[in-house]
Amino acid sequence: MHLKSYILWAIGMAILAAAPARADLTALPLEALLSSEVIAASRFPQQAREAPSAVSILTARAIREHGWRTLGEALMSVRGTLVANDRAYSYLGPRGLLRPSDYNTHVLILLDGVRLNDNIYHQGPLGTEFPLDLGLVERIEYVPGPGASIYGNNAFLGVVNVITRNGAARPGGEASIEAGNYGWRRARASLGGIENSRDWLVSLSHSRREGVNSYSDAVVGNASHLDSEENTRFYARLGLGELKVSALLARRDKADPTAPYDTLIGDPRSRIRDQHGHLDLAWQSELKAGLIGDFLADYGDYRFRGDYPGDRIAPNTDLKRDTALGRWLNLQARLTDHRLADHKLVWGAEWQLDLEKRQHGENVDTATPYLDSNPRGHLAGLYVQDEWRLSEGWLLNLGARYDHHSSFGGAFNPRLGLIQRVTPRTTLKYLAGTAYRAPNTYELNYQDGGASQKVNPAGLKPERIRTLEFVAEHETRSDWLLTGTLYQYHIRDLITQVTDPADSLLMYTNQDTLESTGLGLQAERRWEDGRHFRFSVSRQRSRDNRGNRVSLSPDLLAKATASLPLGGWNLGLECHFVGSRRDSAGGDIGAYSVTHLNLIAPLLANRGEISLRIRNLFDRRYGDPPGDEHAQTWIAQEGRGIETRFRWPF
Amino acid sequence: MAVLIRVLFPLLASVLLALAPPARAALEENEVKAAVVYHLSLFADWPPGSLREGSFNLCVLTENEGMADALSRLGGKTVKGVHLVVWRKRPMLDLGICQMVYLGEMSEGARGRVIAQLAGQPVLTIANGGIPIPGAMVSLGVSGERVYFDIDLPVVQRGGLRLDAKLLRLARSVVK
Repeated sequence: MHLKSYILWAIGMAILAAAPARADLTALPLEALLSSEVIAASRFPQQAREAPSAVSILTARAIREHGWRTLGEALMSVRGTLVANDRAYSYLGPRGLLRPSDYNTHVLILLDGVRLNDNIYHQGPLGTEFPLDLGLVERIEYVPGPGASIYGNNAFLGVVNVITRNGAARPGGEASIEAGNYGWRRARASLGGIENSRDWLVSLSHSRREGVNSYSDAVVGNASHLDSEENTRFYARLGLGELKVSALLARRDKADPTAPYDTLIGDPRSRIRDQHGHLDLAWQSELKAGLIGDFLADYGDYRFRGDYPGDRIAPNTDLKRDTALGRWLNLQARLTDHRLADHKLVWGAEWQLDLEKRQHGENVDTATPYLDSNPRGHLAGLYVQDEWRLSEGWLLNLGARYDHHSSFGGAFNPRLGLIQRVTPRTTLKYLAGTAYRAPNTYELNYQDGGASQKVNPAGLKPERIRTLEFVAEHETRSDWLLTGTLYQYHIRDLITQVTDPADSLLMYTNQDTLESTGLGLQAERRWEDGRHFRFSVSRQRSRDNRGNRVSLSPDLLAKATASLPLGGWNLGLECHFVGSRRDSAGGDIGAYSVTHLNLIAPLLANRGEISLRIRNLFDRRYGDPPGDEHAQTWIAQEGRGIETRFRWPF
Repeated sequence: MAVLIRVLFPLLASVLLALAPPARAALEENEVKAAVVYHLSLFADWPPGSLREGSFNLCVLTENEGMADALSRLGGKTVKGVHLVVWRKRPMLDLGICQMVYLGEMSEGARGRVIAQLAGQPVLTIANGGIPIPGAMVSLGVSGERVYFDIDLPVVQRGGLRLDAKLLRLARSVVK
């Protein structure tokens, strides 16, 4: 059975199931209404239950209870996700699917609806390079699966939407100071308030970390004191009734001890810098009763600088410096129409103009540039989605988006979801959809003057994915939420780096096909007293067109998180198991499990709090396989880390 | 695994479809609450001059989209001889057009600010919470699988509204 037959099947079933419209309860007398038995609405958010996907939501409360410092740490607790790190960046593998050298281009990361993936590498920031302090986050919504029918490019394997808290959520000031081993220090001050319809928030933070003192591996050698990091973040927002203005600027400097791209190990010049800046204007208004308009204007600015000292293969000590400067203007408009009784219609348009996509590379010592490219580009997208309540038990979700990219042309991505409420406690979802990923400017235009990498003269097409998914959610009478998912992905035209036999240079080409199938199971419960438990197991199988296992993707992932209030204290525990993976050379990397703990105690008559976080509690030695830019097949992760945090309002 | 999905998916779905229960006796909480809100508008009287010509406006303030959807479906019904219009996203300071405000799931601070702003105004405020919400005229809740409402009469009177004796009789409790 192929996608088309599934769609026909689903539509047929929907029409069969479409019972007559629901009864109008307003016709009943008030006495009858008050004496009829009602089914209590779910304790879990309705939006998540009716969404055409298996949504996971992480709240500010969970962020605090587990002491997560990065978006990656928070997402690692979600069912089926894998987060790996190579000491430069963190990488997200939704549903365990992660390929070598994928810089989060298959995941779209949004901050209050603003695209954080930059316009050159399309890289989603996830680790310490994520530009916002998690203390300012209200909630994180994670949606695995394709989201291109609404979001367009990069919403390929998943979408992460980070929602910030506003000044009204916690008026007044808040300061926090953190310290820990590996030379960790951080200070943050935030100030917010609300007057009449104005709310505002300003936050500034600075952190430093020495990192691991000595890094060593058998392949490239040893480096000492080369894991340090420095991070500065500024965020401000002002809400004026229906209008919201926000500004963000964050810079991270990181030393890299792993000597990627055959650079010299132990050279202190090996550093990367990422800077994200955004200036946003958002306006939401109810244009007519039931017709809601959302408008967003984003000016984005991304800067990268990578210093790569020397060359181990053609021995020299020259410093190569890659810089990138991306500036863009992104406009979005969305109309949500609730005026038709059984329909929720969403119309949207997006337009992005790349003001700058400059990549520059030069040998600093000889002052010879090897790369200078600054192509222009723009994209326009149009989408529509209808959430159609066929009957009391059935919801049909139909959507499609068309995008036009100046670099390759058009992409059309439909999505179909049929959501069935079998009983008030049981929901089933049948989903099918497609998504695409446009080749990024790096893949299209990067070359280093004939040393190792060239531009593919034939150009590149977008990658494509086609998915089928089945989700079952059931709430037991004892308030456990059980979720099961079953899915099949078919991915083609993957952009892969190959060596051209004609000149032995690397270039990108649309080559690989990949099949991924899997299932996931999760049980979750929150008690009235605040206790919270969540367990999940996910199994997946990914094979490329040659029948090989996909490197870096584990076939088994298991997660357990618990939060336990103890008097006024709180204990947060999480344990992650990652099954065996293959490294990029084809070798096996063993499974690992790691446990983190976070203990919070009240302070200053319950106004402030102190927390103690122990990462990798049992000091397990484990590592992540890196991408092709690394000669080593395994990069060790940190041992036990202890951090304390004081937080108090003023 | 592929075979599993190809065979199991339609099979399982079809079985579940066949098993899908027919009409149920129990009603959905949000739908019943929305119908109660409609009845409240029928059995309340606004002071002369406070109703607008052309439309009767219900403003819905809630993060619960399901409840907002249920209330939205009241749109187009007749209240006081005019059409009921349901607004879902009025900003807090722009509630002047509303004759009735539904305060559902929202932060306590925001709810408190709306209640303070509407105090003494001829606006029927209906809050949703297990316990009566101070300052709200009517509070909705569910107990023993039945929907109930409580009335705070002094607050109603300060707003210049009058409630039909039938509402006072059917209320779970009335603050006098």
